[in-house]
Amino acid sequence: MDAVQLVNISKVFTGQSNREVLAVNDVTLHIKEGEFFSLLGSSGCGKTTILRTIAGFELPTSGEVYIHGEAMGDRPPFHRPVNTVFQNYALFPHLSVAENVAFGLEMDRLPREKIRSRVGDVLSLVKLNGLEDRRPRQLSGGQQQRVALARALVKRPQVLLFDEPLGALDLKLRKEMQIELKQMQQKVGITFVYVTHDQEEALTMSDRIAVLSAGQVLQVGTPTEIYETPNCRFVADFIGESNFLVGRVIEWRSGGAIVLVDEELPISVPYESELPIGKIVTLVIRPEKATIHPENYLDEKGLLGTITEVIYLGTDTRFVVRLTSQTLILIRRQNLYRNNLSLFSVGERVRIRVASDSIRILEEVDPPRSQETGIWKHSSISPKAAKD
Amino acid sequence: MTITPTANKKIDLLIRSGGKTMLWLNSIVAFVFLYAPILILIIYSFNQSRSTAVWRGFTLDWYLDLFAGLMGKGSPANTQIWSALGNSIIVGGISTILATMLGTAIGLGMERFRFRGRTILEGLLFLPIIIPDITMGISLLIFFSFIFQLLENITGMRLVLGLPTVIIGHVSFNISYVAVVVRAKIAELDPALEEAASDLGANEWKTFQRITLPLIAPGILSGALLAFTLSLDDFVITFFTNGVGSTTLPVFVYGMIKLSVTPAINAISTIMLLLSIGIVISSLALQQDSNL
Repeated sequence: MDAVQLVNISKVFTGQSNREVLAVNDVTLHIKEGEFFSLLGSSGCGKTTILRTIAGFELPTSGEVYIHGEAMGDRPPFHRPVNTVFQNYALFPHLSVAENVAFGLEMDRLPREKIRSRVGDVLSLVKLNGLEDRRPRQLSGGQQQRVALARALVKRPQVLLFDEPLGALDLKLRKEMQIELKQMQQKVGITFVYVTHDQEEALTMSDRIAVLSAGQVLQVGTPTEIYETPNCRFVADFIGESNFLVGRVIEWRSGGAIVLVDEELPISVPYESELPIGKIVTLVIRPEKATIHPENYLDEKGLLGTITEVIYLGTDTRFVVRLTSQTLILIRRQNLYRNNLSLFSVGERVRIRVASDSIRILEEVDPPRSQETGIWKHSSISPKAAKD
Repeated sequence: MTITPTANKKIDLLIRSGGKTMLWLNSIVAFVFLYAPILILIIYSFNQSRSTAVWRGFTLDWYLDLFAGLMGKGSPANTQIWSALGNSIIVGGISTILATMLGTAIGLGMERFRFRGRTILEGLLFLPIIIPDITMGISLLIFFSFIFQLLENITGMRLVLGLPTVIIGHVSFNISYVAVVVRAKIAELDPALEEAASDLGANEWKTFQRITLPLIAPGILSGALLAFTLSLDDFVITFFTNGVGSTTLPVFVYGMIKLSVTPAINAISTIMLLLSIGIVISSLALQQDSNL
């Protein structure tokens, strides 16, 4: 049985001057028992709203939420078998750490002795022993985060919901907490539903990820599936970096196609389903899956191009190579050896090789965010690079 | 002689230091203007002379007389002062409790819910703070006589002005003050806290009792103290709504002044002043301390 099941959930908010906003648009999701499931998307994509409909803070405009097979209807949050770790922790400032954690158990009217022992257990699980009597504001961000986690865990919910819980922590602590949360999830075996806008965080921790945009689920899959076989341009662009090459199918035999990019560069790609000749498609190439070689390399196979830019980034070097008059491609090359760092320089003719099964064909040609159709936009390198 | 750059600088400096001096002077004058009368009142409450105009040396007699009045001794005026103070405290206490309950409920409702006519209600809530006391006093008086007349016509019962009418009058202006103070406190409360409580299994009442109420308690208390002070000090509205035997301290003092200003009035005023200051300071301290 699914731990959480969302069936055709939609949510309409009425904003200022009665303008209606569709925050969640017909979302159906099946979250398995014991799974670490992430809802990933940029801000305003509806991921938090979905989480809040599971918790019961929002009721869906249409559709139904099932938790362990049971329809939630308009059940209030305090009657749902889920608990939430809030974005800014929402710790009760007037209660001590122990009182914060005990709150949920007191609401369940557990005997005092039992409450004490369970609070003790969970505090040692999150490594907060000795801080029982502190007030939340006397704790560091990381410690507050742990209290929030303990307060939700102590109720032993069937499903634990997380609303960007690591957003307020600094990078290093965030990375530590990611690993710790993942380990804890495996230890306690509770289903985690985790909202984040950080693709790396989602890839690190999740068993499965749902990528959302504009209130809709675009793709659901394991981190590998999402990264290696994105099903649409948005997912390919949002998770990691991608080159998008738009071209026309000029040949299709069973198992493979030849796509002519910019009417001058033929690229052969394996593809199972049938493609009509003349169809415009998008080729997705991850920057790290292309390799760069001298022009006269071995059998002289691969795409010829001219280096227009070389950016050294420590762990790897990025090359921007012009393939055709209109198409640039970004290549990431790991800096394995120190002595060939300056092997390639700007203006040089090079050969680009991509294993053909590393190229993905998308039959969709939605216009990219830049105005130049089908051209990998050079400027997009800087924000992404900064984020990494 | 030409003005050299250095001379120019000197003029600049002079203007600047002159400005500074004037600013200081202004502050001092303003403070004297505010506090000199109060200071004189306090000083003259220790004056031996019966007349307020001349200083005849230090004495505690007026305070002693006052406290003798408490024991039922001394002049009748000094006994009446204490019963007036008793009225003030009864009126202040009851009107504060009522206004705090109603004002808190209004503050919560206004901050938590979006409803039709909310803006209008907000304006109406501020009105008692803005409209002159005299208008409020007169309208209350007219209102009470109208109601009393109506009751008499219907039931034959004859009601008169007294402590209940004073209390109702005080509640009517205190609600606004309490609501404003409490609302400010609720506004800074993170709504996620109530959601967290609900998420942990607390129903609406438990959430209010265990989370909301303790967190806004400093606001409620400081609203209540403000209401009590305003009630204690109020003259105009009380003057219009009180009747025989329901004289409060400010109204009683006003009556005494009509005869003559005695140092006894100075003494009782000083006591009231200290009481008010004490309450206001603790109210402010509560607001300061509230960022727990």
